[in-house]
Amino acid sequence: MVRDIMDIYNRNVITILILSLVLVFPVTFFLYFASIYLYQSDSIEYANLPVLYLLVLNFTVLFPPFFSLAQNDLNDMVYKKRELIVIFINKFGYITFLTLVFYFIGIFGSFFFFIPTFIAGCLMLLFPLFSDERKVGISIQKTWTIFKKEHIFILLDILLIISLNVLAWAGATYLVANFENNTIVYILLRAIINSILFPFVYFYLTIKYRRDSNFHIQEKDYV
Amino acid sequence: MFDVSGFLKTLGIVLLITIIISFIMGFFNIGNITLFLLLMYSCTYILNGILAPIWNSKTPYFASYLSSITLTVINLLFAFFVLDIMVFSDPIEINRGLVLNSTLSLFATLLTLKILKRRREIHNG
Repeated sequence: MVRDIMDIYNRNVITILILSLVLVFPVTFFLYFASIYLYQSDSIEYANLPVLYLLVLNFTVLFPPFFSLAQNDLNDMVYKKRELIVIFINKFGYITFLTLVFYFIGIFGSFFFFIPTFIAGCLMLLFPLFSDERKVGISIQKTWTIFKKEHIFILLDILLIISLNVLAWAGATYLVANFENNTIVYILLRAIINSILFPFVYFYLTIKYRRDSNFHIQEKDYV
Repeated sequence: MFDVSGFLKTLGIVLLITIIISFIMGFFNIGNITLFLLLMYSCTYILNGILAPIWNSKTPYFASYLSSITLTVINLLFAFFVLDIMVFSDPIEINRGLVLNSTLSLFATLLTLKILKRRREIHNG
């Protein structure tokens, strides 16, 4: 598993660098500046809820270009770097809207012992994997099928991702602990960590949950 | 049939380009707020009218109308909850906003469809 991820990463280092410069950095900067604005505004009563939405959106909205990259690489298909950015622009509305829907389910599900919250969290992690489907209903159906098959073990993946982020964040803040820091430094650190960590997480999820797109593994299974 | 994924695609691209345009316009330091808002809004809704019939070729006018209404409602909710402007206290303002925005989008859609039809006629001979 780790070796497959490293293989994809090594074969497409230049593309990943360009994607992180063009997409990951600006998106992270915009969303974190928006969250600072929300925290400083007096008119919002609970600023934590929209800020958490922006953090989740930061993860989900960058998923489709990296997923497409991994899928093309696993199927030995040729792609252009321009196509990946076009995919990001095309899928922006779909991802934003569905994340909003699942996030509302998660918030209002907190009255039912947090059970809908966990389900919505799992779905939020997985639904960008099926963003290449033509219809919205089919992609949600396939996400639900995977959720029924894997159920509680998706939470382990979420735990893995969060602990990886916390580990990287602790290490990065330790490096700048002795300097005079302001908010922009922390946002820059966050953007660097995102551009390093997110491709690994996306490739991991693609290899684990989209086995139908991976022809080599299927052939091995038959032989 | 109405295509939901095309509708969402239109909304996403319009939102993204609005963000980018307003970010770039912030660098030019336009003192007049009315001019700024007029430029931003006309860009957004004309773009919406142009893009909506591309991914919803069977129901172009309905797609354009629905996405412009959705954008207006998002705008009102954002102004009410985030910027703390009392938009819901004046029904005439809301009515004017809805009518103007959807009219602008529908007019852009009409022009786009005329141009597309004309181009197809030229291609066919």
